[in-house]
Amino acid sequence: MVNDPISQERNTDEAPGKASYETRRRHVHFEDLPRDVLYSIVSKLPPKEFARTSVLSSRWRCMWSDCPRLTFDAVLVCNCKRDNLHQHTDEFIHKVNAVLQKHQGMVVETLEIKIDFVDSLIHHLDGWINFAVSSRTKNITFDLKPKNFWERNDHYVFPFKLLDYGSISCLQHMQLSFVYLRLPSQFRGFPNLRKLYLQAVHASRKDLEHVLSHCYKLEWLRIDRCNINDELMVDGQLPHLLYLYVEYCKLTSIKFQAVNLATFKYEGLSVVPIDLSHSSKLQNAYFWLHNAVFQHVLMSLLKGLPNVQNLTLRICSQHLEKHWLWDNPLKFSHLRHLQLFMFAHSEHVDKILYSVSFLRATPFIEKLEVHYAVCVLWSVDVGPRRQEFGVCKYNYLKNMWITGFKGARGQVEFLLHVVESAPALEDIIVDTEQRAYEDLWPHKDEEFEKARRIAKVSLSTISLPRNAKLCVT
Amino acid sequence: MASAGSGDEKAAAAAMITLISSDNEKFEVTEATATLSQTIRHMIEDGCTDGGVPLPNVTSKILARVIEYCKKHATAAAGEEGSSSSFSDAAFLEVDRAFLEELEEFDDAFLEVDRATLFDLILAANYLDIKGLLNLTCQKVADSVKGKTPEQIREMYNIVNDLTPEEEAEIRRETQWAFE
Repeated sequence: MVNDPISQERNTDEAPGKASYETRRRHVHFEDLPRDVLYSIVSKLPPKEFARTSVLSSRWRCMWSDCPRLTFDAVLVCNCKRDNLHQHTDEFIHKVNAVLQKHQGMVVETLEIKIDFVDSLIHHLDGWINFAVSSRTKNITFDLKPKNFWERNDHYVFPFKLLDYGSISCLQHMQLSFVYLRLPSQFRGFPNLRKLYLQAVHASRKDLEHVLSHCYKLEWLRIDRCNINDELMVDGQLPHLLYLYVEYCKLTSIKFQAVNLATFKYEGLSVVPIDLSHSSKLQNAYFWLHNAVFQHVLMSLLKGLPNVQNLTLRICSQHLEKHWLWDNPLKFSHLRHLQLFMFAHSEHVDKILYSVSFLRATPFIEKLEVHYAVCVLWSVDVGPRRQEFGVCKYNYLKNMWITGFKGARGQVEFLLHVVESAPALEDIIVDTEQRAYEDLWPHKDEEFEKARRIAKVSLSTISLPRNAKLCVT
Repeated sequence: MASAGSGDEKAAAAAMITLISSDNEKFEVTEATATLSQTIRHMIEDGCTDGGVPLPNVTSKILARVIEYCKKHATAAAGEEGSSSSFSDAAFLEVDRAFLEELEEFDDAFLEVDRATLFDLILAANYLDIKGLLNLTCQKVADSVKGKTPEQIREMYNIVNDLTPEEEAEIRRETQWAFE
């Protein structure tokens, strides 16, 4: 066989020395690659292109026909625009069925279906789930999210009745979008599921909690736009869960028992009570909030994520209250790196310094980043002075990076407070460029120059930490 | 290879790993760099890296490139754990954009190699179980066949067509939707 590397070796032996090596090297053979690598290459091709490789040779034909991965994205399969997708539903059904028929009775590791849901699909979707059951499918994606999914309530009802325990045990990865999860009684969970992505899924609080509590091996979980309008208290232990992402779900509170959770991301309109206090190894937490009061968020995070090590907080429409949280006894005892994105309203310009109350809860902070994005901050001289906040020490703080520094009093006082309170500071970077997002307001060079001058002059009035390097740009 | 002089020398020395290529060349790398390879990570966890890690399937030429990749990506690796390909972190932090762009530029330049080297990199990434590198190199190969006719792909990668015309016609019938 030509594909056998040993016989190739022998064939080229006849040519002298190096030349033969070079000749052989130039002939790069796809077939030299292990089968799973070949699969990972072809699986990066669009489904059509992958199907076309089946005519390359008998080996490629096999690759295609016993391919463990079948991906059907209606837009690609029917070669149409998303807007016209509804005209192509029958065509899509026909094409998917034709391919699945060729794979009947074979193992198919991955089955991905992506189409805008319409009622006429129900029968076929059930059939495709049946196919997955008989094909021992490990990875299922049913992305049925139609264009205006938030206006619709006619989700595809997931046919639990078609799945036996054996096929449920096969499942390792699952994405369900625009699906109604109505659990049968005595549902025992997905024992081997490692990755679960629920998007625009309709389910009762009880059912969702039950499913999540019974995925013991879950490592990765993303819940996106699933409106429960209630609490989500997952009481089952999820000791393998490393990654949790909750995005725009209408929930009133969240609780997970995931001792090994490493990353938590939360995106939503506002913050809700979150209890991840069992996650003692939480490395990274990211919060994107649309509208929130800074101090409320702080208190919520202190209660819910006391163990976080790196924290990013981004509030698009941020409100600051006029108080310093002196009475707060809670601390982030593991927080080393804090990244704050300060999008303050112009009417809150006089309250910027109140954000310093966050730092009182971070006694072990090593790196602080504050990225300001406010349009009318240029050297505004209003608000309290740092002396009002009182003394607070950050003995481990080594790096401070402020961007979007515009010389406003709140910023200056914040800067001076930190520099005065962090004896171990090594790097102080004050950047007048706005880096949190693009500055939409035209500004003049002299304004930047003035902000830099304000930073330098005000820092010259205090004594810098012994090892501190100052950089104002 | 001399270790870089920056940082805490002692701490760095403690966490150095020696990798030995198939042609017996030794490469000293930090543990953070080496553990981008799951294969090596498991060896470290099992405590079998004393006296160096022999990599009989990787030549020094390829290993040097692989290390170059790992060094660059080791700093970017933190925080990626647990996330996976279906989820893009790229737009994560605007302030990190510059860094990500630099990383992308690095990757693009890194892939400027001939096909033989590209295949060797794939084999090494597969053997060493370096997900990012495997993904990157496989994507490069996939991109290279995108939009090509079967004839062009055969030509590019020396694929011998052993199908009879009848068989080929049958396959084309079966996968007609893909040729439309």
